[in-house]
Amino acid sequence: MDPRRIAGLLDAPGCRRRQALDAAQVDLGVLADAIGAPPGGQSPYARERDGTFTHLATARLPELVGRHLGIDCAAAVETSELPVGAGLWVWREPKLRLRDLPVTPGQIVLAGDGALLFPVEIRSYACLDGHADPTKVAGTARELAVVVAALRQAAPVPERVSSRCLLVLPRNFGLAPVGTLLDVAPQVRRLGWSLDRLDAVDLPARLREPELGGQALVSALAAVEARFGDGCPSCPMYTHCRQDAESTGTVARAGGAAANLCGPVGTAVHALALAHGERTPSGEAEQAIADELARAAAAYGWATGGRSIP
Amino acid sequence: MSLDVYQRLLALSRARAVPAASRAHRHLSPRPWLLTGYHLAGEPSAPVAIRYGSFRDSPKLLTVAEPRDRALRFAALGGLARDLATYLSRYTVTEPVVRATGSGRELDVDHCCVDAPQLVVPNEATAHWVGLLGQYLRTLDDPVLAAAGAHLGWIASRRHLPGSNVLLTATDLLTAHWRTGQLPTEDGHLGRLLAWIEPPAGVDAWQAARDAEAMPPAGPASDPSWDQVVLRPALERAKHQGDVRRLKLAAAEVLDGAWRDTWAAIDLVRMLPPGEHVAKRWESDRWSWTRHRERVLAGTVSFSARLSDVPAYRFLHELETRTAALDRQMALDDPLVMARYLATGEAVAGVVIKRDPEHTVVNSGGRSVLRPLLWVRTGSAFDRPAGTELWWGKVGMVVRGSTDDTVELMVTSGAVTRPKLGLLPDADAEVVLAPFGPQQYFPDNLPDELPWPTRSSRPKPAPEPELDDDLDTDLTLPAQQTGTAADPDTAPGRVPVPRAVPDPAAESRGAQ
Repeated sequence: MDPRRIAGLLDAPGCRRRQALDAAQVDLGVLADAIGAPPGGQSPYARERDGTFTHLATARLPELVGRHLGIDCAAAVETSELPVGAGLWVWREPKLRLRDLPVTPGQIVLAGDGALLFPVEIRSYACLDGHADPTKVAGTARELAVVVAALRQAAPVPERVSSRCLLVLPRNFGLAPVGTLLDVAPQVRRLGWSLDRLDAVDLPARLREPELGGQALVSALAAVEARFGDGCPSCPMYTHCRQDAESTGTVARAGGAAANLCGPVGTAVHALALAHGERTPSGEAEQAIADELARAAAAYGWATGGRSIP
Repeated sequence: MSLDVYQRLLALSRARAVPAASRAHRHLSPRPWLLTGYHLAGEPSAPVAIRYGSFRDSPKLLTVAEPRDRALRFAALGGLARDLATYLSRYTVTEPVVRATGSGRELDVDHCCVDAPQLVVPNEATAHWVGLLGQYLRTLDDPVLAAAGAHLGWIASRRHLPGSNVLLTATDLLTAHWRTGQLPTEDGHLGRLLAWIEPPAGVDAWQAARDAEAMPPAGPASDPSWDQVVLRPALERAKHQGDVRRLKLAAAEVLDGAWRDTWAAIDLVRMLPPGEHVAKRWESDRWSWTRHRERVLAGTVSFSARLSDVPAYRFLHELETRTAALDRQMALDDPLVMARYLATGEAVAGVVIKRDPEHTVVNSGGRSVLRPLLWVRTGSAFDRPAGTELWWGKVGMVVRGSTDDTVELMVTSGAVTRPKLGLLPDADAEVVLAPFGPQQYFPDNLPDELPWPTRSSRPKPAPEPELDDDLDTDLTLPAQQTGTAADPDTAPGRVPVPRAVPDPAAESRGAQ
């Protein structure tokens, strides 16, 4: 699985279905087919730009590495294992593992100063006047965290892999590369936390079957409880879970704020019945939710229908 | 806010958006300039097609046969720049305005443009792109393109100011006035939003929203498979055979949806009666436009990438002032917005059950002064403490105490002299007491020490070669905060710093 997919675990915290999906290493192409998800993919123009920039940036890497990490090195050297010493290496298609999950990035660029190894990441989104899109940087940081954690698992001495990474981006509207240091230590810790929970997922036996596909795969996944929320649109199961949430009328379909306010009250019909006093709340928690929503309902009634509040 | 959640739940169970406002809170120009378009994937400076103009039925379409060819790109953008200049030239008429200057005692005559331009785009991403295009054009030597860049820069800079209406996004227009039952992130999709507000006959919002997703995206990023299947052959043909018809047809087809949806959003908001304070907020935009024009004419337009120290302090101050003013104005204009404050308990609605207009207290000077008392019966307990200030129009009062269904209030301003006692609410009158008094003015005097967010405390980066002089301080922030939760997407206290900010002094003069 590529780092982006594993990093996706951090987007949907607490969703057991998403965890099961990754713990069972379901093939996303098969899954998209099964649930009839719209085709994703990258524009050919984005791919070309990616390629051009990666080519240009790789040529100037020694200079950037020297400036930001203080490492004197020549052009990158191909390697097929975790390097030692000082220099700059490209490791193509490394077979790494993170806990039990395979991690298969296309390539990893590493710079070493003799004591520490620093991952180098080349991305083609622009850094404008010193600002890069924070959402994209955050996404890259999560993916780098997966790489760092996987390298640490492969390294004889894990501390030798630094969480400080060099991120190389094109400057302004051109393709001149600029480097910047990005410390992904917090993301590595969050990833560890997520993976601990992933280990605890007891996978339904059916999901362990190899070559599972089509409706069988969907129903096996549907058996695992999902937690719908604001991070869901980036998940491969999104369209399926969304349909689920719509047919059951769950509060979470309206977003995290609604789900948080309604707490144990699961469906919108139930919550609205509490708000309109058509249902007696059971327990203190429901009473508090009912009070809060009843107040909102009264205010809304006053504002829309001229109903008086007292 | 619990009212937001309640409205979302209502919308969800009805499968239809519910109104979140009963007044239009955005100024809508009678002749806005709309812009929708696509750029080449990953390259905001390489537009593929842009549809723009002020006329719904006759938009202009700009296409670039080879977006990566700078000469072709500049030629196409030159057309856009000239059309923008023509549109802006309609807003040069000024009128004399008498304003107080200095300490407020002297009067002066100033000139303000009678109207200002307004740009409307389908979504936030396109609004951001407008800013990027402006930034890109400003780097060019061509005077026409650079002038367009300056104008786009001013337009984009207004986007960050609460209450400004120079650059509107259709998604913001709709989310400000309606609430849907889908995820807030899904509200960023213009087609989905419209499907919730006006689903086609016989289709519920869920289905209509799914249908809307299948339409071409509103931009500025195009559908990757469209890039592959339609755009690439069309561009090849345009490039090698000089035949742009296919490109124009393809572009017109995909941009048509966003174009119509943006107009539809404007139409929907136009049906609402405008809020009272909207014209006042637009006046601030008109002043800003006037000042921007003056700077353009004087050749002193400048944009800074990042603010620090005093400009940053002033900008933050302006943001705070505007946010407070916008909240207050919207609530006073619109009962549906005021309902949010009723739902949270910050405002209180009820019936005056008893009055004591003759009540007096002894003030600190030892004089007895009139401070009438009111008792208001409320639907639910008012749980704010004694001393809380509430307002009924211009009459200010403080809470003396409250029980399960009654609030006791003492009037402290607005009706504390005998001639003005008639301004008090009558017994049995229904009142809404709001936490919003007269417009608040916050002095923008500089404090002795600037607050930390505006200080340029970040260490200066090591000297860099000329090309790479502006390394990203934002990106290195987590590195400086090792050990704390410094995930860049959740880092606290991050203040969005605009790419360009007009002179704050000029803004605040026209602000309220």
